[in-house]
Amino acid sequence: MKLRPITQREPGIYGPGSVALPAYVTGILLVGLPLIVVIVFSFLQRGEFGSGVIHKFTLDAYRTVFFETDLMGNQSLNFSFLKIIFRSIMLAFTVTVICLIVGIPTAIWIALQKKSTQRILIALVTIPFWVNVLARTYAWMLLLADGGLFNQIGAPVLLYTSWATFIGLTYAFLPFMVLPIYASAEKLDKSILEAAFDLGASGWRVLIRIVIPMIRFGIFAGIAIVFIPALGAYVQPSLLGGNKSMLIGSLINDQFGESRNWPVGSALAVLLLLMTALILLATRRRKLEFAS
Amino acid sequence: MEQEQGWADLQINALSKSFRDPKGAQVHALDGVSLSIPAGEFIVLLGPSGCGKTTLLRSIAGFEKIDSGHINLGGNRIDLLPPHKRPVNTVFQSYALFPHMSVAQNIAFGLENEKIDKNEVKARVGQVLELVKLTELADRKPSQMSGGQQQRAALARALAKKPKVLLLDEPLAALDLKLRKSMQFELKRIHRATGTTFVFVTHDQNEAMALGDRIAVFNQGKLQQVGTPFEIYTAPASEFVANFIGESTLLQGKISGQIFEGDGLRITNLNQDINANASAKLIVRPEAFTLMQGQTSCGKVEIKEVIFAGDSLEALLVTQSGHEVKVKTGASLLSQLNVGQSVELFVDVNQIGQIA
Ligand SMILES: Nc1ncnc2c1ncn2[C@@H]1O[C@H](COP(=O)(O)OP(=O)(O)O)[C@@H](O)[C@H]1O
Ligand SMILES: [Mg+2]
Repeated sequence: MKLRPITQREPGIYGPGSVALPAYVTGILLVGLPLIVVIVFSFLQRGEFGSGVIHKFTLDAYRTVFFETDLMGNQSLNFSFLKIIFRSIMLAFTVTVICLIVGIPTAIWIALQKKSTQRILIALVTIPFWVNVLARTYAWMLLLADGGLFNQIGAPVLLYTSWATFIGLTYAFLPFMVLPIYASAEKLDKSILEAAFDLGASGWRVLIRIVIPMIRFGIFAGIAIVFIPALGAYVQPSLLGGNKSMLIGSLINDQFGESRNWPVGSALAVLLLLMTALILLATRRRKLEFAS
Repeated sequence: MEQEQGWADLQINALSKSFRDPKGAQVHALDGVSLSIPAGEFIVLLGPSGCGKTTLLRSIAGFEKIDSGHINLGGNRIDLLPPHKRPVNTVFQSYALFPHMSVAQNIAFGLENEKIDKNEVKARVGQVLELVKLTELADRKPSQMSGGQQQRAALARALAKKPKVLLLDEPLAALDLKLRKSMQFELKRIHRATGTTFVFVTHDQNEAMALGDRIAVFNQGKLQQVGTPFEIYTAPASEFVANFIGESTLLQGKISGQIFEGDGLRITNLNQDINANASAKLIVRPEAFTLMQGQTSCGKVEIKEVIFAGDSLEALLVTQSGHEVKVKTGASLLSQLNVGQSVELFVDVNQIGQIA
């Protein structure tokens, strides 16, 4: 007998013209249209005075991103852009790993508390969301600055280093890791954990062999919603890292601002989008593998 | 072998455990429970829902911290050990199979925790799968099996560990009647095949009767009576046990000169072991009463309800004082009994029990 997962959608009710209509309208207006504009811009010419675009098709933007032309007119691969991508990926990866290492035990621990305690702890985890990102980032600037709290207790001045970017991102994204993992850990049947102990497993083995496999979808979700925004992060790298080592988010921002090259900014955004799509596809594939 | 047997006696000594209910009041889930279970016995813990059966089982397994008392297994105190160090295993009511593992992997998990050689693990998984007749489904995930099959898988997983004591918490409760009956036979067979001590929890007295070498009856955290199914059935030690087991009728009245009078009935020629008492309580099982001539008469009763049960008739009667009496009598009387009719009630005095 093949059991149908209860989450499977009923055909029909999610189709257009149903109660889902507002969601379609919002999705198309706020996500679809800007996306199309960005994709179209990336294939157009740079505007005459920098800002805007000229409506003529060209691959110049992508050429600029991937190749550089020296004074003699020879084209060669542009490593500076690849370096920025590599650096962004490494940073997002490290942030994700640290969030996993801290987030998994935290989420599991919360899920093992009494229901009333769980509610309080989850409220505490979401407290940072009540304050604007910029305000929180400025608070970190004060903490990490010369003469700031961290400096006073003996830490070196971290502000405007990659460390500050890293700390700021980890701080900002940790709740996004904890919440989905908690959501799946909370559903764990406690008698299954007891069964594992009953069968002679140590706490460590129960964690590795039982708990983590059972909450894997929460973990995948956490990875996706931490890694992807961390990859394109802009606020923390520019405010805390001082843009000393360029990341892709700041690079895109610069193209629309100082550098005044909208097509290149758009091309970079499209490339970032492709990367995240690839990552999402990869995690989806893993989910399917696990589920079968 | 003799020694091995002695080693695995389970001794429960003055065990107490209380919880706080949501309002903060104390609930005595276990109240000074002492019970001695010889190795290899199939003992059934029987009692109504909430009487503390699960709490006792979880205390033996190590999932509840007991307030006082101790638990010995073969002379070794185990109540201070963490669950994974106790040589007992549990079959959970919800089965608690690991959903991401196949049946074989579920079973192997317990053995892998013991650092047993890989080939030995494989061999033992094969053995228990055969024991519970699941060999063909070894590679199925729990979600791809029926309730009865999951039940067997949970049993196999616990048995693979070769526990000294197997704890089963209402393992058949979720199965339909027919499957439950056949699993009862299976459990008896598996118990004989393994020789392990089975501590089996149920609230169903028929299941307890069918399975137990002995039955321990609980009520409100207290052990009421321990004995063979026959002893519990024929000589209930208290009103509670009498009521809980079968459909016995309790008669209250006075006994003198081996004559009982009370609840609208008069029974003469009582057995010598029934003691005179001004406020006596007698217990009579439905099959000790009859509506056919030949036994001692108890007086006139009115028929309130008659149920045809195939091999017998079950009748609900009312005495002249309004007391209800349940009777099981020969099916041949069916055509002669009508609701509202007044008939004479008889009893086999040898089957009347007295409780204090
Ligand atoms: N974790 C718990 N917290 C509070 N009360 C509990 C807890 N576990 C059991 N109890 C109470 O202890 C009593 C015995 O419960 P239990 O052992 O589950 O009974 P049974 O298995 O016989 O139905 C019940 O009154 C129950 O409400
Ligand atoms: Mg129970």
